[in-house]
Amino acid sequence: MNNLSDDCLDRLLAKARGDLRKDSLREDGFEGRLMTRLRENRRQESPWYLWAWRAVPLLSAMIIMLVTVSGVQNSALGSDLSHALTGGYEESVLVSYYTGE
Amino acid sequence: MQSDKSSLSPDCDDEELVKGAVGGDDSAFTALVTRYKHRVFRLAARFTRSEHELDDLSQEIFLKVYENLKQFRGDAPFEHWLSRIAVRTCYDALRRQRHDKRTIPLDELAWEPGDKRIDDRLSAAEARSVVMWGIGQLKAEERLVITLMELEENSVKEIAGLTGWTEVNVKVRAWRARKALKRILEGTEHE
Repeated sequence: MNNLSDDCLDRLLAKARGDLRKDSLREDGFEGRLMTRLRENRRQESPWYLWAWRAVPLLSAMIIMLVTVSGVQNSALGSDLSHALTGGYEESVLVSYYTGE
Repeated sequence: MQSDKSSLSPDCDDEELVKGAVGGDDSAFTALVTRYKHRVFRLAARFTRSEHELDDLSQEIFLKVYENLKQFRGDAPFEHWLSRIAVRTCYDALRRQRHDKRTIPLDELAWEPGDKRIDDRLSAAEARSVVMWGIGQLKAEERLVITLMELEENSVKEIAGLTGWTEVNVKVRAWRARKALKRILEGTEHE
């Protein structure tokens, strides 16, 4: 086991500090690469209203479908009602006839 | 709407460029990048093991700067604000690497743990490799603090400002980091 003194560690760190890495070659053209990535990120994070516009055809189709379905249901309900009313009237006429009222 | 055309000169001060960039002027942001990329590369190089990682980490730092530009209020110089983001991004990168202690293979170093002449016979480049190997074995927070203090030569106060830790915390962490680094270099880490 070797005890490394604080002084020895300081000298080692100072020597290491003196050997700075040379300028990275990656610094050349860095702005171009960064801006490409930034634009790519922007494309991926497009604002919600762009997605809302894309959803317009789907929403329109759903609205048309709902209107159509509710229209059909209303007309079916309407005919059932008139039938029920008419049926009820006929029945009361028959009852009046047989009871002599 | 983002624009590549700018009415700002690259000689503008930082705050004008920030305003331009926030307003969607990409060339104002590019001017800021050109102005500070060397500083960011220098710091990021302390925490990365290859040119590819260095490029990636530097890009990550500038992307965070861009995302947070609106929050820059100009209370402190832009350079300080950017340095804080750079240090925190490097720290996050170190924490991600915590289970990945790949560093220079030991047999590639001109030194062995416990070598008694550790500082005498090593060249500056070899000393750097040994120190980077040793620092690579430390925990993320120890690695950050010892790099900022011993290699970047920041004061305790500056490190506190950069990391958001208290000065007492910085001192304690730096002391622990030095102790751990010594143990590693003495070869007693696993004894």
